[in-house]
Amino acid sequence: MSGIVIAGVGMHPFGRYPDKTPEAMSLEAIQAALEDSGLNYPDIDLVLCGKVVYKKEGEGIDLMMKLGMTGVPIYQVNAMCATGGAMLKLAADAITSGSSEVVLVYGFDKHQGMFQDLGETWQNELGMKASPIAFATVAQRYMHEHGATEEDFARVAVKAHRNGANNPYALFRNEITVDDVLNSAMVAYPLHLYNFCTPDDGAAAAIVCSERAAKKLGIRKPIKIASTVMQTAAYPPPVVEPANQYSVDLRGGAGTPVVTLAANKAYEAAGIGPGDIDVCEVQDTDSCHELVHVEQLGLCSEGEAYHLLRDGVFDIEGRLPVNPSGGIQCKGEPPGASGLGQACEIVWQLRGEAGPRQISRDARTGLCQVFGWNHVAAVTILQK
Amino acid sequence: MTFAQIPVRNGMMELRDGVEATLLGSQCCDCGERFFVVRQICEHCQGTQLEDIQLSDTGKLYAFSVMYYPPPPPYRGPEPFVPFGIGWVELPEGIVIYSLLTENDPQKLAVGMEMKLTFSTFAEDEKGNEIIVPRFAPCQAV
Repeated sequence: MSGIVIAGVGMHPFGRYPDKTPEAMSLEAIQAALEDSGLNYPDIDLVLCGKVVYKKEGEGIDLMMKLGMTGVPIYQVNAMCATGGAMLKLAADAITSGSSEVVLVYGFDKHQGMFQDLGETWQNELGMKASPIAFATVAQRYMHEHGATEEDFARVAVKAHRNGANNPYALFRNEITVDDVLNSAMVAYPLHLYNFCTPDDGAAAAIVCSERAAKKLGIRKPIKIASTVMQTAAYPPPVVEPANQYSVDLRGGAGTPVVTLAANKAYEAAGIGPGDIDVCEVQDTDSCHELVHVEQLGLCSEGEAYHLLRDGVFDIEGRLPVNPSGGIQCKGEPPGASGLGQACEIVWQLRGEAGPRQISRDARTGLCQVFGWNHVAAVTILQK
Repeated sequence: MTFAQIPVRNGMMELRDGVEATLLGSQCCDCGERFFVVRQICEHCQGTQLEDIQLSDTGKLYAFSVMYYPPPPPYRGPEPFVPFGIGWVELPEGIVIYSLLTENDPQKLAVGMEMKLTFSTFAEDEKGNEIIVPRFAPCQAV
């Protein structure tokens, strides 16, 4: 891999915009990405549009009514909360295949509440598949296996808000304390309200092109896509990974997390190892999953992440900054856009354009990781 | 007048005389992998020859949560909302299954505690049949 770069990125802030359509937010993100790349819409020869929950048919296709009828093929993509990462993979594949040269990927959503209809009808009627439960069950098992506490999960949220306070694209821009988290309502034991990401609105966009096209088009600040991988579960899955599993047969040993499967392929394709990652944005659906995903990515050993967090390793001044954007704990999660929001942040960090939340260390390689319902994950490694 | 008791889902459990319930599953005839709830295809080897098996009604709690926030529709639980326990139970045959729990106080739940299958009425259908849901209960206090 890969000969492919991100030529430009743009975001509409994530948050609550009841009077603004997702289409309007998308246009702002797309125009920001075009401007960042120096390209114009007619340069685009493939469009991928991601959305998960917003209910209106044809949004992606409707783009031609806003930006012009250039004849470009437009596809809508849904890979649940992994949609952004999945689109980067599709864009890279389209370029590698030779069928496309300059791809616009953008995602948006209006996300009003928790997922509650992910299972069979009877399970949904009994509340068994309300999404916080699946993540909380992982957190409870993590506490049991590794000795972490609710305070440790609270520290993740505190760190997230310290970063989010400096992010103009974030929903929550206030600092909080461990006590604030522990005093917020228990949603699903052992996770409190402030441990969870918040469903909200927003849009993000990226222009992806071949290195050759980047040179030809005079792209000023390209960031390389060293590798990008999309992955679903390979049997056997782990027991408590958020998914629609009825049962797991443990006689053959516990399964490998889908994030680990994706990460291993991504490191191999990029020709690097986890030790080469300088900064990362990981799926923090809840505070515990920020830690779990850092471990599943091989960035530290199992059960080690909450110790490293206490030691400040994941702070923006630390050795391995994690979620310098504040993550979706602070930005909120419009699932169609959240993965591309990660890519925007890593591009800005690698270019040194992140302003007051710019990480202290000089970063060459960054990683984006998304995880979605029912064992789906995507990992993208970016390099300057 | 008596009404029938019906499991909330086909292929999940067998009810006898209103006092006993047995969980059902499948075992793959090709690779031997076992699954809770009867199924037609093996998730492991994609085999299509599976035989019905009965599963144990005891196990050990593997992981759990208590949901304190009322799920949005189509949730049909009690009003006002009552927090509910839920988790994964490891059966003696080596499989871990996802189930509702009878206990909703996390202080009274612990990984590794012995659990036993119970069942209770969730709702009535339009004919007056009782819809039965399995829930695991702690055998002893923590």
